Amino acid sequence: MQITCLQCVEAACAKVCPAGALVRNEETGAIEVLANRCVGCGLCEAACPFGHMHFDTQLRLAVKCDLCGGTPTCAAFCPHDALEIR
Amino acid sequence: MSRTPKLDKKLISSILQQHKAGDASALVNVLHDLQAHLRYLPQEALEMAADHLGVSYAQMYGVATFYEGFHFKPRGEHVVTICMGTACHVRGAPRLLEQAERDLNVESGGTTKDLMFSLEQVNCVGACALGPLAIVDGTYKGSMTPAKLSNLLKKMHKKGKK
Amino acid sequence: MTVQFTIDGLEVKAKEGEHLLDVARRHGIDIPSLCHHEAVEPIGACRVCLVEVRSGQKTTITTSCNFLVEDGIEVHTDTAEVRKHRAMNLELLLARAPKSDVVRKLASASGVTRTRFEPLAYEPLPNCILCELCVRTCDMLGHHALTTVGRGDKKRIGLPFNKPSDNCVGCASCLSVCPTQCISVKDTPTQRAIWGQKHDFILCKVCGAPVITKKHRDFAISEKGLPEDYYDTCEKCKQSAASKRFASVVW
Repeated sequence: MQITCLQCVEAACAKVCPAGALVRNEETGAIEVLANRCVGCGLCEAACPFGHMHFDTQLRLAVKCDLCGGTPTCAAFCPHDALEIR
Repeated sequence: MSRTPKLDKKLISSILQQHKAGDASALVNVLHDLQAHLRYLPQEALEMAADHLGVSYAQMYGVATFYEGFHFKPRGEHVVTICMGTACHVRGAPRLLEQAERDLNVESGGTTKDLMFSLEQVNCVGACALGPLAIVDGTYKGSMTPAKLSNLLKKMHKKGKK
Repeated sequence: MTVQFTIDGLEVKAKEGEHLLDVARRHGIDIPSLCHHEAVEPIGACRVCLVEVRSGQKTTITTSCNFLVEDGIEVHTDTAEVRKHRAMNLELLLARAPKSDVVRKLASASGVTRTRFEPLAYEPLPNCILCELCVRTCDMLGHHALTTVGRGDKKRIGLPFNKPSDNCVGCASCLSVCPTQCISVKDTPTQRAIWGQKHDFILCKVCGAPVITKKHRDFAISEKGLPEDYYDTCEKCKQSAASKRFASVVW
């Protein structure tokens, strides 16, 4: 079964981020990476209990699911309507 | 007998106690005081000073290396400084420096192996009328000649060996 | 307090105490820069973010990253004067970092494709532009391992006494923020070599892949208070474990 970022209420990634680069978008409820604040230390990737914080080794930045700004493309693309956003 | 100044942690502590703990603005003063007593700035002293002032050891080192006047290797008991300002230069300061380098067997900026002498050059101390000028342990010695300097160094060396 | 002023003719509002570059970028006005990062204090090191600030009779060319906004100023980001000075600074930077793509790209955008200045053989960090972003980031993270050493043409970035530092945890944030990517970080499956020392990785308890360095984890535990077992599994193994756990709940 495929899961993605749970946008945890008490998110480990945001808790460990030393730069304040992981913040919740109040509109979508998603925790987003502020790329201009991320210093690429990699702590969030190590701390996420579900393995859904990623580190872009080219850009040396944290990347994560931001629910595509409120309209997740994964849900839109799923051919069997197994994914929906509620 | 080794002339390496033995690292006296009590001495370092007592120097640091003269400055308010946590007062980062005293950083350069502390460096001056430490060097005045230890003749150079050893790693341990910088670490202790950083702790005392509440700044990072890295910052302490960064500031210290910014200034030419601070040294990080043990220095000689006597410091011989040759003025290389324009006035001294035209009156033969380069020959003074050469003489000292030959006599002490060190290059300018260096310290003799027995840690008795450090040889330095400066770019004018503002005492041009006295040139050429050698400064020996803080005392200005004007109208210096290579022969006079050589004698002086010999005397100091003899005295120091006793 | 709110201040009001113009950037390239556009009326903007900002809070007192904000820096000009941040305000400009927020309004979609692009000012190039190399040493600016939102997570740390600006110091105006790279001199690329120059702008022209007119205040009453006075006109100054200044770095925008550390310029505190004032009421009534008139900011111009692309005058002939600004372009001239920026091009000069980029030509100097190009001598320092001739192999940096970022610097070369910025320079050529300012019409500078070659430099009249001698390239500086800059050891141990070729292409370092001495912007101190690594030092500032290391300080912000609370490690305080890095510093500038010396001054003038001998100035460089390094560790105190050029010795391995207890403070460095091997997080490699210095490389992550470095505009010219000039810091050497070499990872093997078990160790990371950085700043002349080696750090052991924590290896995933399932597959053995590296997670983060032990020192970095220890620092994170003491500072952030998450339990140790948060850091003992790699991203992929955590993913599959989580998937299985959720599947068992759903079905």
